[in-house]
Amino acid sequence: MAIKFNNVFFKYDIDNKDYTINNFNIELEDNKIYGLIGKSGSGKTTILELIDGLILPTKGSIDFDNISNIKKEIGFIFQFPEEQFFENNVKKEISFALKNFDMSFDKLSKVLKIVGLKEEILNKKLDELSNGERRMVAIASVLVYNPKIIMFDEPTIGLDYNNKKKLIRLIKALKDRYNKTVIIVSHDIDFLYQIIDKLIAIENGKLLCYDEKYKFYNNDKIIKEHNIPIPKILLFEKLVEKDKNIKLLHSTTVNDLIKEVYRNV
Amino acid sequence: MYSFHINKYINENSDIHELNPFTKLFCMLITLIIVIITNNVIKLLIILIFLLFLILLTHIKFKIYLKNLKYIMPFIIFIVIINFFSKTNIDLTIISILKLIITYYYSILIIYTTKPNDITYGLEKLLSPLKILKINTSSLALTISLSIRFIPIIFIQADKILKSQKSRGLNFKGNIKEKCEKIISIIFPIFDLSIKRSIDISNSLEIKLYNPLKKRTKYKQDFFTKSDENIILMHIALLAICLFMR
Repeated sequence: MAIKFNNVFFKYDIDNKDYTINNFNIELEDNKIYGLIGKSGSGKTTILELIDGLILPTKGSIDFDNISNIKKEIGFIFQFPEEQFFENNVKKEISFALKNFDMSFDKLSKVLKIVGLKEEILNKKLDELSNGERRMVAIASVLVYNPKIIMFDEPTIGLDYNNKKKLIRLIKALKDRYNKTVIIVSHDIDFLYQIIDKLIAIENGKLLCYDEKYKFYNNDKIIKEHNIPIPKILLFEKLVEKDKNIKLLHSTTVNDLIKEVYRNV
Repeated sequence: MYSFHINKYINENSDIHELNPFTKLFCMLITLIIVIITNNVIKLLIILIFLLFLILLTHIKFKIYLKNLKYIMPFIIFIVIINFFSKTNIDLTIISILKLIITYYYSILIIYTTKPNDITYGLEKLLSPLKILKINTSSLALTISLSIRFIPIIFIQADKILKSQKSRGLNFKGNIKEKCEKIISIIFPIFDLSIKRSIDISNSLEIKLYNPLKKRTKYKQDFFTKSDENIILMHIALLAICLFMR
């Protein structure tokens, strides 16, 4: 268990009657990738901000295991992080956190390698970069201080196909090679389905459903009632199973699914 | 996302909301003139009571208005301290505080009950006499309303950058020099971003073929109802009282 929410309530305005986060209870484990889905305004970003300690719960508490400095051990990559750059060159932007945490600068080149950027980029100005590069710089500026938990808020928005693939590879590597816990908020369910281990669905600040991603989609009733998006791969899988009356193993990528179908049909 | 109700329109169904924006701005002008020319506690109290009456008419919770008091509290304290040390007459202290409260709450009342677009419209009408001097009033009104519109944008942007810095370990501890450096690191990107934003807005105006020099038609009809008349008359009566009462 890495993070535990105990009856967390939160509202932005004290006078407001409704809570943005309403009696939220959840336990998140180490070294897993979590997907967090919900409609716009359901409180997804608020939950990430609560975890990062940017805002404090109105009622209830959030417990962390093996974490002494929240800011240092939790990394938060905001929605459109490239709109929040405040330094003028790439090197300064990436090393901003190192300065604050009194860490050495020798990790810069390693982190650039992880996100797949060339070393020459360090001396460039932020305005000279393309959108995909800017997003990667924003991710690098968080990864550089080596946080244990990394949170992404809508990481795929505005990314082209190649950058999206690069991001998927990066997030998988974060979990497998660097043993990180990753939490991703996204509306792109097809993207999420490829990488996550567990899926959390919320509505109006309340926990709707929380399970392993394959078990999650067995709750037909909740999914239908609350209009939860279903990944295309799973839809096709179910269609084939129903049509041919066979049982397929779950697959997360199109290639795997095609192989699986070939094997059985 | 935080409480930006300093300059936000609050939708209610009230007589004040339905007034012509020009009427509201014109009445505000009259009130400002009254506040400037009167130096009498009782007269100012009369205006304050009248203002309270207007506030009650807006159907907006009184609590929301009271909350705004904290924004002018520093000024009030400042006035009290300065007047205390310069040994000014207590009457004068009360007068200046009353003047501050009246001007502040009157503008809050206008902002709460008038949509930003309507304020532009009202300003344009109010400034229309300047046309004689060949001043382009519609672009002047647009500039004013855009700058009003920019205040929350800048706050939201500052909040975003601050969050991104805080999550990467920035804290505002340290000596004054360090603190200043940290604050400057926020101000520059905000300045940069607000320039970008204004370019966006001017581009989108240009795409819509906006030309401030041409004569424009309005989709709003000029309306002037009985309650507009009444409110203006009330204000003129107030002005008369303050001018001629002894």
